[in-house]
Amino acid sequence: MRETASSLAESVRNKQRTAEEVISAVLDRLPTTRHLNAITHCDPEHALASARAIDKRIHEGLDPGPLAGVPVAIKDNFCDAGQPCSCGSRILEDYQAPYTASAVEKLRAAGAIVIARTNMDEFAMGSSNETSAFGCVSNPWDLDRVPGGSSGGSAAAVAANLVPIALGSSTGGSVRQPASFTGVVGLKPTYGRISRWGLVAYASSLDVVAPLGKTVEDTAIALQVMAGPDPQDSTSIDAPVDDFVRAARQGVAGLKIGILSDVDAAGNDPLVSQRVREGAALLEKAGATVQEVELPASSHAVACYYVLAPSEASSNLSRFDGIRYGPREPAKELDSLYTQVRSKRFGPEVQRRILMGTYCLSAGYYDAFYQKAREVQSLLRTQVNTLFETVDLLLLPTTPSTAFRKGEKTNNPLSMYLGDVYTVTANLTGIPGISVPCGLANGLPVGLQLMAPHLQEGRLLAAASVIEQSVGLLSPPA
Amino acid sequence: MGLDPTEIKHMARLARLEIEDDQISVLSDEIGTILEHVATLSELDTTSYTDDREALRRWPDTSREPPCPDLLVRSEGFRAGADGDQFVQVPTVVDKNH
Repeated sequence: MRETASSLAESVRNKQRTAEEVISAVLDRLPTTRHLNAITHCDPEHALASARAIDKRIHEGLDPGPLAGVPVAIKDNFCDAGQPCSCGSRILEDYQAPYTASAVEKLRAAGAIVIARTNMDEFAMGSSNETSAFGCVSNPWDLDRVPGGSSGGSAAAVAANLVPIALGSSTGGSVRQPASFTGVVGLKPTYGRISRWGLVAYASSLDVVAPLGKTVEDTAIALQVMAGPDPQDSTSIDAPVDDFVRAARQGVAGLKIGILSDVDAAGNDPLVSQRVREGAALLEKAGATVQEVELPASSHAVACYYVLAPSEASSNLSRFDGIRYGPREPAKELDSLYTQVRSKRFGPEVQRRILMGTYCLSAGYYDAFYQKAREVQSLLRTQVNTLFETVDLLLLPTTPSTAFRKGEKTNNPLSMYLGDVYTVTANLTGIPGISVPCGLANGLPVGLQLMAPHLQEGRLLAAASVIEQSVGLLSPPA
Repeated sequence: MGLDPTEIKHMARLARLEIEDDQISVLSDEIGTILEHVATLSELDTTSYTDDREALRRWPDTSREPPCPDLLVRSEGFRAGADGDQFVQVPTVVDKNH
C-alpha cells in the first residue's frame, strides 16, 4: 500500500476501484509482513464486510467520507466492539471490548476500514515495544532494531506500507518516538483534541489519541476526522476543528521558530543533531525566522514524567485484579486472588511502574515526589507559555538517537526512560507536537520534532509539510 | 543507591503484587536508581507554584452553614416520601414495638 490515504480514497470515491478490492489486496499482503510482528489481530471478514458497506454507499450515490475504503490499523489499546483488546498484556489475554472507542467510530464514519490491531508495549509502558506480551516488533528499516514504542506496531505497519494511516496513543512520546525510529509522521494533538473514550487508560491526565501517517496530509486528514468534543469524555475540548488539510498547505513564511539550544547536547547522536539543524535551515529557506531558545525546566521533564505517569498508572491499573478485568486464578481468599492474577499476568515493566507509582503516592513520600513533580509540571507549563509569547513553534529532535538494537537498553530502565527527553514536555504541558522525517543517519530515519501552542496543530502541519516536501518520503529498504 | 528491600516488599503488598525474593534486590536497585534521578526535581525552585490545595483552602468554608433542603424534594418526580418541614419524611418500615 504505497499510495497515500487521500489518493486511495479518491480512487474509491471515483469508482476506479472498489473498497473491497483495496482491502482484499491489503489482506493478501498481510502475511508477507508477519516477520515484523506488528499485528496482534486481524478480522478479515469484518474488514471485507465494512469495505462492501462503503461500496454500497458509493453505489447508492451517498457520500462515503474522506477516508473511503482506506485501510487503517489501530493500536491494541483501543476498544472495538466484539474485537480483542489486550493492550499487549497477558492480563487481558481473552478480553473482548464491549463497545467502540469514539476515535475508531469517527474513523469508520469517515469511510476508513479497520483492518488490524497493532502490537504495543504492555499498557503503553515502554519506548521500544519490548515489553509486549506478544514479543517485540521489528523495525522495517533493520529487523534487529526496535521500532520504538509504545505504538511501535502502528508505526511499523505504516513504515512497511501495509496501511497509510494507523492509530496510536501518546502518554510521553509513544507516537512521535516510533514515528521517528521508522521514518513516518506521528502527531500528538493537544490534550483533549480527540476523545479518549474507549482508549484504555495509562495516565489519564497525559494520554492522548494520536495518528501516524505516511504523509503529513494523511495525518492531517486523520486528525480532521477524529477531532472534536465528545460527551463521553469530559476532558475533550469543545473548540472549532480547523481545516487541517488546508492548514498543512499554508507554508511557514513569516513564522518565528525557536530551536531548542540543547539540540547539540552531549548525549545526542551528532548526526541526529546535524539533520535537525538542516531541517531548521529548510524552514528558514521557506520564509520562517529561526532563533535559539532555552527551556530550562525541560531537563527535568523526564524526572517529572516518571513520577506523574507511574502514579496515575498505579491507580488506573488497580482495576486489573481478576474480578473486574483479567482471568481469575484459584485462590482461597480475595486478597490472594488479586495478588496472584496481577503478579502472574503483569509483565516486569508494568510491575516496576506500579511499584514506583505506589511509592510516589505513599504517605511520607507524596510531597517529596508527587507534589514536587506537579509543581515542576506547572513550572514547565509557565516556561512553555512564556516561550510561545516570542515564537510560533518550537523545533527540536524527536529522539537523541536513531533506533537502537533490541535488548540494548532492557537491563537499564533509566537509560530507556531518558530516551524520552524530547517528547515528554508536550505531554506534560498538553501542547501538540509532531515528528516528521528529516533524513537518514547511518541508514536509519531521523525525526524532527515541532511543538506549537495549544490547539495550533495547523501550524505544526504546515511546518512539517515544508520539511516533507524538501526531504521527500522515506521508505525502508525492500 | 538501592531502595530498602523492605520498602519494595511494602509497596508490593500495597499494590497487590507478589515479588520473588531474587527480584526484590533487582527492583530495589532499579527503582533506587530511577528515584535518584527523580530526586533532582528538588533542585528546581517551585515556590511560585500555585498549589491546588491552596486553591481548595481558599474555597468558602461551608461546613458551618445550615443544611439546605434537598433539591430532590422539590422535583416533580420525587416519590420517596412525603414533603414536610422542608425535609423528606421517610415512611416507617419497621414497627418500633418489634
